[in-house]
Amino acid sequence: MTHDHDDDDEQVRRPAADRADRAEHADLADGPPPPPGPNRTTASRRAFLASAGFSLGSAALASLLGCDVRSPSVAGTGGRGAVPAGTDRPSHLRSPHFPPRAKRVIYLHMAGSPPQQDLFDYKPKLNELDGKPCPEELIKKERFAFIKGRPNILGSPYAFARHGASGAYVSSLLPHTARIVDDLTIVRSLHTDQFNHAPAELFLHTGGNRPGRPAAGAWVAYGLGTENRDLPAFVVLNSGGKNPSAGKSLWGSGFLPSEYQGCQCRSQGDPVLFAGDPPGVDRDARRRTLDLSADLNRAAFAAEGDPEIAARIAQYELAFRMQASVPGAFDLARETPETLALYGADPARPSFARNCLMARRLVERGVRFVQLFDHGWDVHGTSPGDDLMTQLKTKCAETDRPAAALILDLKRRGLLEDTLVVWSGEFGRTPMNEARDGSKYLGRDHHPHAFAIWMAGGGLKNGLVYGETDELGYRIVKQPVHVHDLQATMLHLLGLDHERLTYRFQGRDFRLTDVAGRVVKDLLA
Amino acid sequence: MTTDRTKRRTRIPALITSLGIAVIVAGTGCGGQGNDAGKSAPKAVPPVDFASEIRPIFASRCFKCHGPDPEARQAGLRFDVREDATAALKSGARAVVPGEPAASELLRRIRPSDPSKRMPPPGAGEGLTDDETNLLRRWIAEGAPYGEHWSLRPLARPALPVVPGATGIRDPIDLFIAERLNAAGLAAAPEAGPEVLLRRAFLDLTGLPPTPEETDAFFADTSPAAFERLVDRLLASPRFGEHWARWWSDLARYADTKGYEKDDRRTVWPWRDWVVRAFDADAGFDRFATLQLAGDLLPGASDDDRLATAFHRHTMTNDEGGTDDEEFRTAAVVDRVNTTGEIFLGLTVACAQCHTHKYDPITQTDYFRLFALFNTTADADREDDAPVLSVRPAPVAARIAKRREELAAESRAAARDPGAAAAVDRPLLDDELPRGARVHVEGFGKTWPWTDLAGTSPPQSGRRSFGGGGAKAGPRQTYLTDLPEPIRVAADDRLYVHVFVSAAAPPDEIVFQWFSAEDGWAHRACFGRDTGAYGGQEGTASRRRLGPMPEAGRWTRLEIDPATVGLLGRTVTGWAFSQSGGEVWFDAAGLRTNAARRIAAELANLDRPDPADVRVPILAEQPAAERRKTHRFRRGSFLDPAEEVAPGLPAILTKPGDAPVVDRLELARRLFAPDNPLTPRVLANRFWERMFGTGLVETLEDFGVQGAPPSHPELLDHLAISFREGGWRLKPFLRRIALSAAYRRAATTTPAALARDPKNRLYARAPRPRLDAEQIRDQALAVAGLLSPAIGGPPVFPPQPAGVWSIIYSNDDWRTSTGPDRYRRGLYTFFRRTSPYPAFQLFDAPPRDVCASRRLRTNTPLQAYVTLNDPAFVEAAQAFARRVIAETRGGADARILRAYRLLFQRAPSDLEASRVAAFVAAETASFRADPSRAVKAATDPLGPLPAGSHAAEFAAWTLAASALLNLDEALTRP
Repeated sequence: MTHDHDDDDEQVRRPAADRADRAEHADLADGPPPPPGPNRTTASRRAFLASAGFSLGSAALASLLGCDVRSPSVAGTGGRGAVPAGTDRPSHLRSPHFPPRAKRVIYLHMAGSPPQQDLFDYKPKLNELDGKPCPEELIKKERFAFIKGRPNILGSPYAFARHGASGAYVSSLLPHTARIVDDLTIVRSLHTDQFNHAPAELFLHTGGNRPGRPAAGAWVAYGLGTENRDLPAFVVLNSGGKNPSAGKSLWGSGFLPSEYQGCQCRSQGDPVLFAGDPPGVDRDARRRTLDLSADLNRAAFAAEGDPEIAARIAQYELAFRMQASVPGAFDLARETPETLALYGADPARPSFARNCLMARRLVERGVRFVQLFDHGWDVHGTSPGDDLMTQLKTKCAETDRPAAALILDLKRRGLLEDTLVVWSGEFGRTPMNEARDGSKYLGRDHHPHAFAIWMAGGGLKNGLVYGETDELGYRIVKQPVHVHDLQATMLHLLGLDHERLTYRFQGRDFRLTDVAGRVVKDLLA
Repeated sequence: MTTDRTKRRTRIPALITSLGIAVIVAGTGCGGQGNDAGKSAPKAVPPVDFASEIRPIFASRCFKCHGPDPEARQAGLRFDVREDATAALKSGARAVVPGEPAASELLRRIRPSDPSKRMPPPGAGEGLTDDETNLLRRWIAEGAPYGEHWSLRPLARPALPVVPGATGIRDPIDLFIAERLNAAGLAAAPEAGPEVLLRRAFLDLTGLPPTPEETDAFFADTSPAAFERLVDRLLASPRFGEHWARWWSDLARYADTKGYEKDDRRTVWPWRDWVVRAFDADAGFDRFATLQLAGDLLPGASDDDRLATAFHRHTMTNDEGGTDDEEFRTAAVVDRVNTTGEIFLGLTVACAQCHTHKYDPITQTDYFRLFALFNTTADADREDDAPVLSVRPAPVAARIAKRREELAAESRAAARDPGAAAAVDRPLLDDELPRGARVHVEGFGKTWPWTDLAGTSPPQSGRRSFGGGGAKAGPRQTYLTDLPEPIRVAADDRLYVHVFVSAAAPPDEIVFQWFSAEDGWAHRACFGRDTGAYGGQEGTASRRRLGPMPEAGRWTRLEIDPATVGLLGRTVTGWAFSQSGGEVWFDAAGLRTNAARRIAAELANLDRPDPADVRVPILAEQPAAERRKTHRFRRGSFLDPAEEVAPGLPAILTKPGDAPVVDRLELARRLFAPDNPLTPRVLANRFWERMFGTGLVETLEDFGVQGAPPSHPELLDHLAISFREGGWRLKPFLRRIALSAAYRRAATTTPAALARDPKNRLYARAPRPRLDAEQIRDQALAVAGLLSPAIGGPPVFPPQPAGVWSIIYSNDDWRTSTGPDRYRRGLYTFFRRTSPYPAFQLFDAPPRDVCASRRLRTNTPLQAYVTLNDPAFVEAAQAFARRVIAETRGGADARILRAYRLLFQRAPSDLEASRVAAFVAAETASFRADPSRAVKAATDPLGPLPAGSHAAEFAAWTLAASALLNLDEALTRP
């Protein structure tokens, strides 16, 4: 088993903070104890503070000097439950409700929604009826995004075969995924309430179809906190050249405090906005500038006594450490050629493959929730740019290898057993050819009634194929799983009860699963 | 002051009595239950207050299953209505038996012998504490009186507290605060220093720090009334309206895009300018609100009144293909109901969309009464955002007004001097195409073939002419249609045009054609031989041959009698310049006319819509015959309508005998009616929060039973009445608050004081809230001397990182503004809902999809990156450094003093000065060793340094300036 060399190994697989420690951290406004010392001008600052005649206790002074920046002891307001004024911390941050099966999540979202009939939900009947008008009852009382009149059935142009010990059907478009089916839990019976991209994406990730609710990643960060205090708890990476339709509301914190919002790291240039020092400011100059600010802030703290000042010092220090940790976390040059080849990732080029590898590096470092969006799956068939024969093939070629590589890589590093990986679109696609305005390109319209996803990792039954649609793949006939059920199940694997992970806003206790959702016990190992 | 202290002390029974509910006086019925009430001397213990002490217990522990919502109700028991709580249940037991705690099932069930029978059930919530249990027991012993929820009680003027030994009282506000501080044994912080008061008042009232001149003026005023005068100046400042408009924009969910997936642009900034003007004018918040909710319904509504109603057109619209307009129209109406409820009533009615409120007495039918009030406007999620109001931007209005004056002067001059009234040229086209006309070009490429005839001849007039051609035979033409200023032709007018025929390649024919609404293009004047290329009947007005080809190689003026081409009495809106083969140029075309007629024509045209006018979505009622009916939606789904609901107010806001509320205008009147206690309480609390960082009711958006109770109920009522009685005028109200002793306190605190009141709910000290996102940037620009003073106008595009706007279904680009527009106040930054300005978003600006009463103030490491590294802030630090260097003589000390005065309005301490000086000295040395780094640090992105400057010095001061801009003191209101 090959392991890549990582010159910052000490950061990798940092053990989870114990429960009390985490609870304390969650309540405090400041960051973690800083890592072993960068170049600090401690002596001069000690002299400055001494000359300032500060009369703080020794513990407080130690913390001010950067040995420990936990503000309540600084502020003298005592215990770990103390919430510094003005920080707006929610008072009920929690440890898991019960022992978790997974500690972190990587969500691979194929934005636009792949056609399940061409990837995982094998329907020979479609090929039999290919080109024939679809049964009348399928379109009665049905609203489509684009289909008009009575469309024709569209068989899949791709061959299916059974794979692995489980014998799961996978189409010829996904040869790499086919090789790992025994590590996957394939669900062919997802369904949603929404049939347009933005609302369906919001529904999937926030539980509501309009902007304004916290994303699953924000809920999880809120519920569990982070295991690496040098990195954000919830990271978002996009590929395919565009953001998903619903934009940043998909990783927003909604009414949760904004520190829980997804941190969208960019796929090119600086991964974090403005994290790079300005032209002409090198690391040493930045350090010295922060030292100046920190000294002056400490003087203000001594005069004002506001613990928020101590918190601010701590956040600037965390920002400084993140400047050091973010480039390392995102630097694919540290990966071996073998690993790069496994994913098919070119470190210099933005791609889904690159983001999958980033995701592994991030979860390895304790990031709680990594959300990937890959744009370009909306295969309506109006041109080769969005059809089944060209575009779908391209998208599969771009994503099949890296997604499978991610599972293999997590597995060989021992991370898969407590990492949950989910692959999905936001809804399904119709068994009928859309043929918008008589288009000769093959494509499928939006379809909320059934779609196929896969999951892998912590706490799931591997090699399971769950749920069944009718012979046309139009409606679910067995083991339906609603989007809220998926959300409840994900939270359950993380040790969170979806009915208890709530936040009061506008007079109501909100939760990710709104007022529905059940844990799909059948999927659990 | 107060005449009857006892009366105030027993205010709650007094109020309840006034509502006609029997009150059992403290002391009766307490003895039997003994363990707590009995210990106190009966007369010293005020009776338990249902609203503030009992109802919150019911709300948090019981209402979910035993509250207003009939669908969720268990065992037929509800605690929100006294008759039901005290009635016999199926089991025969009574939950509450007034005066008999021992007989009350409620007390048995919260402390049962069998833990599995406990209420609330294990799993549904925590059990009650001893204190809560005792409180309930006492309340039952006292007769279990019910009272209205505190926020719904009528506003009654509270007596002013008598606070023995209170000092430093500047306003009645201070008495209410002092009373609580005394009771808690907390000492108020002393008055803050003048430099703190200066900065605080500036940031709170105008959003900006003071300029050096304003600082000097304040310090120069040594009278005791200096602060009062300062506050008056700030309230009168044009910056006041901008600051408060920015605040209102969060509540009004103002954005420059429509939201949802496509999130296309929407022109609605004239509303924002209306709000700025309204805050500055301060004509009363009732008028402010009424205009926005129902300006269109006012008798004789002006355009400005209608513009205000854009307030409720900030709802999102969905332009994506395949969406159901009715679904999103309904969503917009729902948003209007929720927003109105939240802003003015502090009622979170949103949940009543789907079911009767679980906590507050709002039924689903109540909700749809409100819905009905908003359900009959003409807008319907259409792509064109109709109905819209055409609004003329101020610069266009000014240009037109100026032209009108010029024309009036010309007209007077013409009247004085008949000679001047002779024929004049009224040019249509010379060096520019008429603004707003549609342009067509055939045979010359894609754009209008402007040419200066270089090498052939200069233009006949101005800088250029147009035309040309080539060896190729056949027709070519350029023409204009939809002329925004149509030409009306009189009998003695002449159409004129100048032509230059090429000597080398003369055309076979040139033709001028005019378009009239009546006859289309059937007006042709032809020169040269008949090529038949342009239609019409030879010898008629549709093809009148007026002469041979003009002489080649020189400019000829052609004048056409309109009668010959059938244009008498016609209105010309199009003009074509056509040729068959060859080369010809045209210049200076128009109408030769009488001066008076020319002026009259132009004046008439000034009244027409201008191409620069913008179309702002507004509210307008549907015609009576088309008015929508409102139905309750089962479970909130627009696809599942139930019975019809008539417009009206929720039952809790009405009393018998009230006239029905049938439209938005009546709704607005009722919000501000003297018997509505909610609106004044909610608004007074909002303004208090802006000045003190936290509301007296912390949940600004929720005055229902799930919201927080007020920390100072009497003060809240006192302020609410004061605001109402002051004609709802904001400035006098803010002035009162700003001049109170409570507002003027120092923020300084000690660990002991912090431990006593960590959230500062008793106001012993001043709060230190972090500045709002826009303030942080505005301040940096202001102290750097970069901030543009311009007020109003279209939104601007200051620098943001590349790629932030890569949004699906949109090719809209962020085109970074240049010049002063790079440095406008934050409220003018273009607001795109799916991608708000990142520097603001990171500092907690809401996405403005829906009404946001409060911004959570977070403190994250990503914010540090903005103020340290965002090029906008780097640029500000560079300019700040340059300004400090340019405005001082002498060494580092003078510069540091200047920097502190600009940013903090104070002198640095010796320690601060020496620390900064040491830093600058070290950094200067470091930059000297690396000159190219110094140049980058001092000039990228601001631009080159003044000639003869030392880059290392400027670079070092830039870093110092950046450090100061990042201090907690800079990011915080003191």
